[in-house]
Formats: sequence, structure tokens, C-alpha cells
Amino acid sequence: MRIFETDTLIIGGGIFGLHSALTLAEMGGVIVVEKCNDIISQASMYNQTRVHTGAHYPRATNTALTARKNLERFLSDFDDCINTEFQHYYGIARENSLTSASSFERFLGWLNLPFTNEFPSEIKRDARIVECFKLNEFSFDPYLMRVKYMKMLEEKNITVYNNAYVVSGSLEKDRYHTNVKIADENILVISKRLVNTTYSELNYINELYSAPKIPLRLESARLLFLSIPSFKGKAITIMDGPFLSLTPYGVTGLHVLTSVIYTHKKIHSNMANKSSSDEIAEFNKVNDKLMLNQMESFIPYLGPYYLQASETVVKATVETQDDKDERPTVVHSFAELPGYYAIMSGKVSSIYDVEEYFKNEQER
Amino acid sequence: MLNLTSVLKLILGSKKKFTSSTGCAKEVKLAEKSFNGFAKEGEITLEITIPVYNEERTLAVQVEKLFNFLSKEKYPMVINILVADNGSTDKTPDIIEKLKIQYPNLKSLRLDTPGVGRALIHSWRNSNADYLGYMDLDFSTSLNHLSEVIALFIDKQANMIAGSRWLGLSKVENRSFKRTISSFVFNLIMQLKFDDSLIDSMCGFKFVSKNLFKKIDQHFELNSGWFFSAELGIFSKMLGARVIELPVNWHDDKESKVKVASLTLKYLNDMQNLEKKILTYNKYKKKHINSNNEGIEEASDKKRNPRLKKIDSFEELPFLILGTANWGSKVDKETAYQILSLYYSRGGRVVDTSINYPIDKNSKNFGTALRWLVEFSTIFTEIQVYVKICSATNNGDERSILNASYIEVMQNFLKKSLKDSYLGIGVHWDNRGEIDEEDVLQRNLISRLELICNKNEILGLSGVKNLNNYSSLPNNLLFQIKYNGKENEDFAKIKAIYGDRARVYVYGVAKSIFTRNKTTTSISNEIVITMKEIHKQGYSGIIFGTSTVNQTKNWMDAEEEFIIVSKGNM
Repeated sequence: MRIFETDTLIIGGGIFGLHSALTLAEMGGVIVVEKCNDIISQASMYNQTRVHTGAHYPRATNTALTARKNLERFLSDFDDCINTEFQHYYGIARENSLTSASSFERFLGWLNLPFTNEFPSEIKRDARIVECFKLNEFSFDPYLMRVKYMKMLEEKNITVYNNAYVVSGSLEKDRYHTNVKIADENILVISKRLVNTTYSELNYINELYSAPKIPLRLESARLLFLSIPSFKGKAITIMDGPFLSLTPYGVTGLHVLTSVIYTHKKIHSNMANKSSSDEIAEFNKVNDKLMLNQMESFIPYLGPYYLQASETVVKATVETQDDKDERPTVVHSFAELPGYYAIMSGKVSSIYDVEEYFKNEQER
Repeated sequence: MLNLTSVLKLILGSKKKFTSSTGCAKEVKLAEKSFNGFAKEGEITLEITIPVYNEERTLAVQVEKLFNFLSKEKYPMVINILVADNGSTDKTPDIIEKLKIQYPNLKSLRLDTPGVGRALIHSWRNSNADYLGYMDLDFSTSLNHLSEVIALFIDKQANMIAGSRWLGLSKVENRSFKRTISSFVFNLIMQLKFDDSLIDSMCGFKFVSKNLFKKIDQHFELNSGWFFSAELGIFSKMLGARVIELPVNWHDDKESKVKVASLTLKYLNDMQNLEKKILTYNKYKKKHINSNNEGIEEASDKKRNPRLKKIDSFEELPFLILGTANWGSKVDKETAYQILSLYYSRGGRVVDTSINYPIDKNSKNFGTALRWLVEFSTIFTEIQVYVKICSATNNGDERSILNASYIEVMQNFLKKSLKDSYLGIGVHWDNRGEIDEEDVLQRNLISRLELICNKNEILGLSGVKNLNNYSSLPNNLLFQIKYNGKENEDFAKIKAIYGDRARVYVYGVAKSIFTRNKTTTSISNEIVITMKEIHKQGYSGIIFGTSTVNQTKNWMDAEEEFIIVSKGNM
């Protein structure tokens, strides 16, 4: 068995794992292990790829503020990976909405986001939609992000192992010993630090190292990829409740459709430990037709569309008691496991909060 | 009337031999001899169950017919008839009660839920007879065969006997060509998929010894519907029973409710369940390998059909690739299924499709061909599907962006959907429209395509405007160009730029040939020669998008001729 010694082992090759790798490379050697074929191929790839401005979260002021704070830096760091050429229309539903036109307008002002009151040709002010706000928005492209990160990792000499499964792990004296299976080979990684950025499998990895469980809610989420030739450069989100969102997916030319009531399917909490995301994805019995029907009914003047692809992924959110919509990024550390970090990732631009966290850690 | 042997030949091609079953015919003759010496009445019983569902119109007549027939014959077994009503909602139950008064020997049972299999399981479990059987109420199988069945059982030639319409001695009357083909295709799939399948799975004329049924019932959960019939044969063989397929004469009832063709699609699910049942049993058998002494003999080792080999390299791509451009428009689902079955049964594996097939301007049909292929690939697990990803919809004026990111999403999706049947993707530019290929190429497309080539996957290119754009790609390139019957400029360019790194297939050949020769259906020498010509011109093959089973057959035949001709000339 080959043995590698390094300062930091990162488990999970998503955007948060890779960004942590780049940050921690300033403090020593880093190895990244990713269980899939490619980096940025799971939760980092299959989501709505929004670069959040904050506008999406009128009920979650912390999440909105964090997104707003990080927006400019993210746009400039990743300008070559972002689709900036679209207008996002936020339609406020007349019924069942948890926000109103006036309070949403105040909220946008508070975030200092320029907007105009304007309806796209696809929806009209009617019995369903009371008001519409047009904003400039942005969508990151997962594939271009992958290409960019691969380049940055190479520049910093960070090794990434794909198709690498963590089999077992332990803390021995002050070093983490991690057994990793890569194809037919088993390797042992000995590291000072261990960063768990496995998102939906956070608790599975935590358990291997006897770290406490993080209260997570796992859902399988269904994404439909549509080609809508007449809808180029536009996005529509119906606020704020059991509605839907139709947004450009990176630079692919596709739109991704998600629906608050049909996309997510809560998974029983006792599955939160399960290692296999695929198994959880199987759980999904969402009817794509229902999603498309909902889209047609809320966006009645949408041009012809073609369903081109679909994907089911596991989504993890922090379990909360209230009806707030917060999606915080939290770095968990534990007194009994020095140098062990479990990152619960929220919105993509909060990679900078994680960066800051690790920089502060070093100074301490 | 159709001659079955000729249908077999028609479909399989005269050079191919189907699973031999001549042994059965011999055994029947032997049995007939012993029957003459065995005319002993009284002790052994056979109970024949007739499943019925809403048969108020025909039930009385048919039962009368049956009892009349039986009263004229003398059998060395006592025959009981049981009518099993599986949930009729018409007057069937009343008629049964009346018939029971008329025929005191007639038994009956009633279940509240429909399902032929369910009714038979229920009936057979509660029977005390030594032999159990079932027949369809329409008596499509000539009742004369009953004496053969009984003789074979008395003579201990078999534990299970199944009527078969596909054996050389069978006569089938009144059957439409379409139904014959459908039934044939269904059985073909069953045999390709299941080593132990009967030659005629669904024939409603099957008999089994009570002991064998008990064992089957103990080890397997039999299907509750029509598919019961197919499973009974397979499970019998798996348990090592002696199964005889009896050639039967068959008269098709025009009013019959059984529609094999449309049912075949519904059976997909049943087939998948059957696979699971077989797996479970095989696991059980492995575990209990030593306790295999309950009178069940090991079924003989059979090897899988060697024709089911997968294409796993660029070099193995066949000359003929099945096209699907009309699936969902001119070609309906059933026909598509039959075309694919035929292609598959003749060893065809590679299917070409595109995310925007069928080629018509109706946006509602978009993607139908791919959806069907995904569904069919669960049955024809060895088919290899090559999918083109397009820059434009069929309307021509609307577009997708063919860049690396889009390819990534589509490739992931196709691999997940088609699983083992995924062969490769093709990038299809729309060379009709104004799309700016050069502009999009900047977005990492070439490096993304390089990844595909380097992973040894097949990469297709079609509708390309500037052939030089892809010259850095290393290997495994499959170009598709339109055939125009004469020397093709693009072809010469591709050969000059890519040499052996690329294979070139032509499409639109049928249109070109058939309009020139004005022959649309027959296997003509023109096709043979033209295929040869195409090969001589240096093309690697043809994508042939057929619209009918017959046309597919002609192409397949022509290719066989082609191979023979070209071998001689090389």
C-alpha cells in the first residue's frame, strides 16, 4: 500500500473542496480525493448555477447579505466562467406568496440592487402575478469552472484523485489516517488537517472519524434542462413560495427548470447517514410532467420548448426549526478533533467566507 | 394461409438456422406408438383449466363444443374441466352456473380480480389431479392434440408440454401477417433474453405435472397475468423438467382478445421482473447447491447466443447502422420495436439516433426516437446507441449552443439514460442555417471533444461546415455525410485531412437508390451492387433509416449478399 504524507487532505472535489484546497495550499501540501470521475460533477454541477445577488432570499437576510457582499469579487474572479447576458424577472405571485410587491421592492433597495418594474413577454400582470421586477443576473458555468479549477490546481501542484472512495479514517496522535480506494489500489493518506466537503455525505464521512453528526435535511432534487429558443437571455422566478424558477444554465444555451413543490422530495431523516447518493436519488418519484405543467401555467406565453436532459441530485440543507429560508455556509470544527473541518456549503460565492475562515485559523 | 417455415426463413434469412426442435417431432411419433398399447382408463387424472373473463357471448357455445368433443374420444386419463372466471363483470358467472347444471362434471371457480396467471395458480394449487393444464377458451389450438398430450404424460416422456405454433409440423390458419410477425418477434426476444425460453412462449395450450407445478410454485412467484404462460415454460426448464414443445395446428380467432403486438410492449416490465426472479433463484440455488436432491435435475448448460457480442471499438463498427430519423413520425412505436427486433435478431447492434428525431417540424414529437430507444434498451441490452447532439431544431431556425458545457450536460444525461447501451455522441452542426460554428468553437469545444476521443469513445461529426476545424482530434471520428450517388467532395476532404483517424458513413442512400431504380421493396440486385459501390468508394458504411419491417429485412439481406460478394472480390 502506498502511503502519502501531506498537510491537508480534502475529501470532496466540488467547488468548496477545491477552493479550500487552493486556500490551504498556502499553508502546505494538499491532496484532494473525489469519488466521481470528475471534479465539479455533482452538487456543484447540478444546481441552478445562480451567482446570487441576494434577491432570491427576501426571508433570509443573512444569506442575502452574504451573497450581496461576495457578488462583485466572484464576478471578477470567475468572469470567464459566467453567463452575464441575461435579465432575471422576479414575478410576485398574487396568492400564497410569502412576500409582497412592496416589501420585495424595499428589499431590493436595501440590497442596493438596481431594478425596473417590467414584465417579460412570457408573463402578464394577471390573476396570478401582481408585479414583476427586472434585474441583471448571472449564471456560472460548471464545466468552465471545472476547466478553470483544474488549471489553478495544476499551478499550485495540488493532486486530485478521481474515482477515489474514502474507506475508513481515524485520528492517531495528531495525524489523520485515511484509507482511500482508487480503482484497484488502496492508499493511505496521513495528514495534519482534514477537510470534509462532501455535502450530502457530510455525516457519512463524519461518522468514519467519530465526528458529531450535523443536523442536515437531505432532499432529492429534480432538474429539467430545456431548450427554449425564444427565451434566450431571460430568466423567470415566481416569488416567494411553492412556485418555480426557469434560469439559464451557465453558457450551455439551456434553461434549468426547478419547482419548489415538485423538484424537492424530502428524504427520511434516518437516511442522512447513508453513503450512497445514488440510492437517495432513486427515491425521487417526481413527475416531470407536473413540473412542465406548472411552468406552462405560470409562464403562459413561453415559446416552444424542448426537454433535452434531466438530472436528479441530492441536496442538503441545514435543518432549521423556523420557516426562514437561510442557506448558510458553516465550517464545523470539533474540540476533540483538532484540524478536522466539516464544511456545510451554501451559496457558491460563500467560498470566500471559507477562505477567510481558514486564513483566520492560520493566524490563530 | 401462411407457411410458417417460410416465415421463419423470411425473417431469419435462409442461411440462418433457428433453434433446432426436430427432436420434439420424433418424440411425438414415439409417443403415438406407445399410446396404442396404453389404453387404460380411470386412474390418472388431468384437470384442464379454462380461464375466462367477460365471455358471456361465447362461453356456452365453446363449453358445449368441448364436451361434445371429449365425449367422442376415449382417453387413458380422466379429464376434468374447470372454468376459472377471473373477475368477469358481465353475465359470465350466471352462464357458468347454468352450464354446471347441464354438465355435472364441470367445475368452476371465481376470483374477484382479473389475471389469467392468478386464476391458474389458484386453480392448480387447489387441484388434486395428477396433471394440470390450461387452454384458451377460443380453442385456437386444435383439440385433437389433447390425445398427444395425454400419451406423452402416460408414457412419462415429459413433465411439461407446451403447444407450439412455430415448429415445422405446425399449421397456422387465419393469422394475419402482422400478428405472425409480432408473435415471432416476441418469442425471438424471449429466446435471446432467456436461455430457457420456449420457442412459442405465449401459446395458450400448456400442461404440467402436479409435482412439477408444486416445485415451480415453491421456488418462484408466477406472473399473475398473461405472462404466466411464458414463465411456466422457463421455470420448468430451469428446474430441469423434461419439456416437450408440441407442434400444434392453430386456427386464429379473428375476434380473439389477445393482441400479441401491443401486448409485447406491455411485457417489457414483465420481462424485467422475470430477470429478477431468475437471478433470485440462481442465488438461492448457489447457496443450496448441496441440497439439490429434491428431484429437480440440473438444467443443461447452455451458452448464450454468440451473436450478442458488443461493439467495443471503433474498428468493429458494422457496415449497416440502423437509422431512426422517422421514429415517432412515419414510424410508430410498434413498428419501431419490430424493426429493431429484426435488426437485432440478425446480429445488428448499432443504432444511430439524434436528440431531435423524428425529423419533422412538430415540436411535440421532438426526442421521441431517443425516448423509445432508452425504453427498448432495457430489453435489447446489447444494442449500442450513438446519439447526435444538434445545433438546431428541425425547424432549422432555432438553435442550441454546441459548446463544451452543453456537450458535458448532454453526454452525462445520455450515459445515465442509456447505461450500457451508450456507444458515443455525435456533434451535429446544422449546415443549412446561419449558425456561427467558428464563434462557438472558441468555447472549449475542441478540448472537450478531445477528452471523448482520448477515452476511446466514438465521436461523431456531421453537418460540419469547415472540416479543418477538427483536425487536431486524435482518433475514433465517425463522420456522417449525405450520399448523393456520385463522388463527394466532403468525403475526399475528410480522407485527406483525417486519413485512418476517421470513418465515413453515408445517409440518405435509400432515397438516392430507390428513386433512381424505382424499386422500393424487393431485394434487388441494384441494392447489392450499390452497397458494393458504396464500399468501393471508400465509405465505411451506411446509416439506413427504414420505415417498415420488410424494408429492414431487405436491407439486412442485401448486406449479407454484399459481404459475400465483396469477400469474393477482395
